[in-house]
Amino acid sequence: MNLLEVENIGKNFGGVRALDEVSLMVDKAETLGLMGANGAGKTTLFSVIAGHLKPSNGIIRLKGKTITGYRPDKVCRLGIARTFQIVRPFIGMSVRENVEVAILFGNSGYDSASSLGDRAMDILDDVGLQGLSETFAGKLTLSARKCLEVARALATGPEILLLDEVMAGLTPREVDDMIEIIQRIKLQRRLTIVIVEHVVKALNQLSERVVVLHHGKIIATGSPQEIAQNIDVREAYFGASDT
Amino acid sequence: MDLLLSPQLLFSALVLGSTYALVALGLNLVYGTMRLLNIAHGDLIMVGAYAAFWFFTLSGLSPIIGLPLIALICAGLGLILYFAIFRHQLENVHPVERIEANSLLLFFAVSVIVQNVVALSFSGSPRAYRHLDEVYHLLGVSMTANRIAALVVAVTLLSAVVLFLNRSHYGLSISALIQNKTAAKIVGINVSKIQILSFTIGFAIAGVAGALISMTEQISPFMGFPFTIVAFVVIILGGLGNIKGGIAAGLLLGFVEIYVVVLTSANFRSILIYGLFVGVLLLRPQGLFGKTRAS
Amino acid sequence: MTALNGILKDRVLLIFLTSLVLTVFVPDLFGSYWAIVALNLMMWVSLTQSWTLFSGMTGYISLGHVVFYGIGAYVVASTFKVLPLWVSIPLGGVVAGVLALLVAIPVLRVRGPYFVILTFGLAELVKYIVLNVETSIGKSSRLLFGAPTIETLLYIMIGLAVIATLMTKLVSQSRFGRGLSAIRDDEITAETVGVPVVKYKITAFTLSAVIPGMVGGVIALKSTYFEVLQVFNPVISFTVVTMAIIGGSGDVRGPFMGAAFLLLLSELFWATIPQIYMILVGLFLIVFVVFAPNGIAAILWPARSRDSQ
Repeated sequence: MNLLEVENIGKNFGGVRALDEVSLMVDKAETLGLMGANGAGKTTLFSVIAGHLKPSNGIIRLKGKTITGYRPDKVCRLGIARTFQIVRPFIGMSVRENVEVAILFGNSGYDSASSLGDRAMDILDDVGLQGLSETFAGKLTLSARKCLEVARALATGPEILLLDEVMAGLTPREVDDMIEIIQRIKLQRRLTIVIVEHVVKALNQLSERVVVLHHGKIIATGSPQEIAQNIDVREAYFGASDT
Repeated sequence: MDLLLSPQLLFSALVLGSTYALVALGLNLVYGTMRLLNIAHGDLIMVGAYAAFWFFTLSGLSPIIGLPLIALICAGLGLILYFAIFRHQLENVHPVERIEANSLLLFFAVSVIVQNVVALSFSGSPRAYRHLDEVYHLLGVSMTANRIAALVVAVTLLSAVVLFLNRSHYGLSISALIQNKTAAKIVGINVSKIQILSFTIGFAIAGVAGALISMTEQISPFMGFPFTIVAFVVIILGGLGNIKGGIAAGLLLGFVEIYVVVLTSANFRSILIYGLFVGVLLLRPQGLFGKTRAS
Repeated sequence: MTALNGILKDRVLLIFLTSLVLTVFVPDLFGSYWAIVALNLMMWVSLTQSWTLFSGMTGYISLGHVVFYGIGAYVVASTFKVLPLWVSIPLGGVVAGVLALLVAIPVLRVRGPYFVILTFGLAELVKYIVLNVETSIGKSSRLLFGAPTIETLLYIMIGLAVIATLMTKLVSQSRFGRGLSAIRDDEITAETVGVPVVKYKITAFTLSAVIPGMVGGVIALKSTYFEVLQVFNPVISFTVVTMAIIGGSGDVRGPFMGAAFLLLLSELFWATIPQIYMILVGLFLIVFVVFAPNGIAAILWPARSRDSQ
C-alpha cells in the first residue's frame, strides 16, 4: 500500500482551476520532487494535502485512510508536516521555543520522560541551528529561518515531510548545506519527502522520482533524468507551445 | 399595505438612508485607504453636531451656511490625530495585524476622550435646537424644511465625492490606493500623502453628517456610537472600500430601519442595527475584503 | 500535579496570592469605605485576569467582556430570593460560560480587527435583547433587598480574584497555554504544527467567561439593584481592556497593577469629575499602546514578561 495517495484532486479559485484531476502516489521512504513554473499549483497541492485548503473534488488517503478535508492540526498529528515557502515562524518565540511547540503538539506525542528542551536541542542540532537556540525567530537570517521551518516540521514527528521551496533565496553554498541536511534527516528517520523546488540541482540530487505540474495538471512523471529529457516539460518550462 | 407604500415613509427612509450613506462614506475612505477601523467615527459625527449647534446658537445663522467651517474643524481634528498618533503606527509598527489591533485600541481611546471632553465642556445632557422646522406638504407628504435640506445637502455631497473620486487627480489616487496599495505605490502615488488626504476628507464628511443630523435630532456627547455601528454595517454590506456600494447600502439600511420600526416598535431599532452588524460580520468571517487564507 | 508543584514553588505568585487574601482584614482595620474600595479592586482584578486568560494569551482582543458580567448579574438578580446565593452566583458563572461556548463557534472564526468590533457589537446586541425582555415583562429595574453585607461580598470577591489569578497562571504554564501563545503568534503556523486551534480558542474563551459571570452576580448584590444599561455598560469592557494593557498581561501581577492604577485614578476623580477620569483613562491607554505595549509589569519586572523581544 502506498503511504500517501492523492486521487483526482481538483481545486477551483473562483473561475480558475488551480488543480485539475491531480493524482499521485508516494511510497514509504521515497522522495518525490514536484516541478512546475510559478502558478502551476505546487503550493496549492501542498495546502490541500496539509488541510489548509479544502479541495473542490478528489480524495487524499494516508495509509489507506481518507483524510480529505481534515483540519491542518489533525493532518499534522496524523504524521504529515509541511513547511511554508514564505516562512512563518512564531516570531515572538525563541528558536528553541518554536521547536518545543511543535514537539508538544505534533504527531510524536510528548511524554515528560525526556526533557522538552533537550529534545528541541537534538532537533536543532540536526539542522545546524543549535547555536541560535535562544535567538528570537524574528531576528534570524533567511537561511536560518528556512532551517527553522524544516526543524519545526521535523519536531512534529512526521512520517511525511512536505518541503515547499526551502532553498529559494539561498546562496549556492547554503543550498548545498540544506541538501545535506535533508539527506541526513531523511536517512536518520526513514522519512518520506515531497519536495517543491526551483533549484533543479537540488531536486535532481534529492528525489528519486519527479512529477511535473503545469497549469494545475500533471504533465509528466519519471526519474530526474527522464524528466530532463522530456519534451513536454521543456515546452512547459520554456514556453515553446505556451503563452 | 397602504402604509408601507405611503410616500411619507418613503420620504423618511430616503432622508435617513442618505444620512447613513454619508455617515458611512467617511468611514469607508479611512478604512479603504488605511485599513484602519475607526471606531471613533461616530464621535466625529457628534463633534460635527455640536459644532453645528454652537454655530447656530452663537451666530443665529443656519448651520448649512456653517458647513464649510464645521467640515474644517473636523478635518483639523483628523489632522491632529493623524500626526499625533496614527502616523507613528502606520510607519513604525509591524506587522500589519499589530497596526490594526493597536489602531483599534487607539481609536477606542480617542472615542472615550472626545466624548468626555465634550461632556465636560457642554454637559452630558441632550440638546436640540429649532431650525427650519416649518412643514411643507408635497404630494401628500408632510416634510419639515430641515429634513429636505438635510436630504439635499447629503445627496449633493455624496455626488460631489463620487465625482471627485472618479475625476480628479487626487480622487483617482485615493481610488487606486483603496484598490491596491502595492500597485498604487508602484505607479508612483505618494501613499502617505493620500492617506492624510483621505483621513482629512473622511473626518470632514463625518462632521458634515453630524451637522445635518443635529438639525433633526437631539444631540448628546454619547450619541456617536450607534452611528459608528451603522457606518460599519453599511460599509460591510456595500463591500469595504467600495464607495458606490456603500452609498447603496446606506440607502438600503435607511429603508430597512424605517420599515422595521413601523412594522414592530421603536424598541427593536437597536436590536435590528446590532443584529445586522453581528450578522454581516459572522457571514464574512474571512475578513471583509475577501482575504483568502495564506497558503 | 506538576503544575501544582510549579505554583507552590513560584514565590512571586504565592506572595501575590497571599496579599490578595490579606485584604479580608481591610473592613476591620480601615472601615467600610475601604471595604468597598477593596471590593472594587478585587472585582477589577478578577475581570482583568479572566480577560487575560483568553485575550491576553491568544491575542484575540475582546471588547465585549462585559456581556458575561452582565449575564451573571442578570441571573443573580432574576433568581434573587428564588435560589440561594450559593447556587445563583455559580449559576451566573455557568450561564456566562454556556453563552460563551454557544457564541464561540461562529465568533471565533472571525479574526483580527473584525473579531474586536464583533465582540463589542455582540455585547451591545445582548444588552438590547435583555433590555427588551425586561421591558416586555415590565421590569425596568429590580431591587435586591436583603443582600449580604459588604464584608461577605468582599470575601466572595477575594475568592474569585484568587481563583481567576490561579486559573490564568495555571493555563499560562500548561501545554494548553503554550498552544494559545502559538495561536497569538501565528495561527496558521500553530495549526500546521498540530495545535488544535479551534478547540483551544473555544475552551479559552469559555473559561474566561465563567469568572466574570460570577463577579457580575456579586456586584449586583453589592449595588442592591439591577439595571440592564448599568450592568451591560460598555465602559466596563473598555476599563478591563485598559487595565490589562496598562498593567501588562505577561505577568500575574500585571492585571493587578492595571486595576490598582485605574482604581486610584478613579478614587481621585470619579466622584468629583467623572469625565476627567475617563479622559485620563483614554490618554493612558494611548500612551501605553504607543510607548509601552507590554504594560507596567514589563517595565517593573522585565525578565518575567513574555513578548520582551
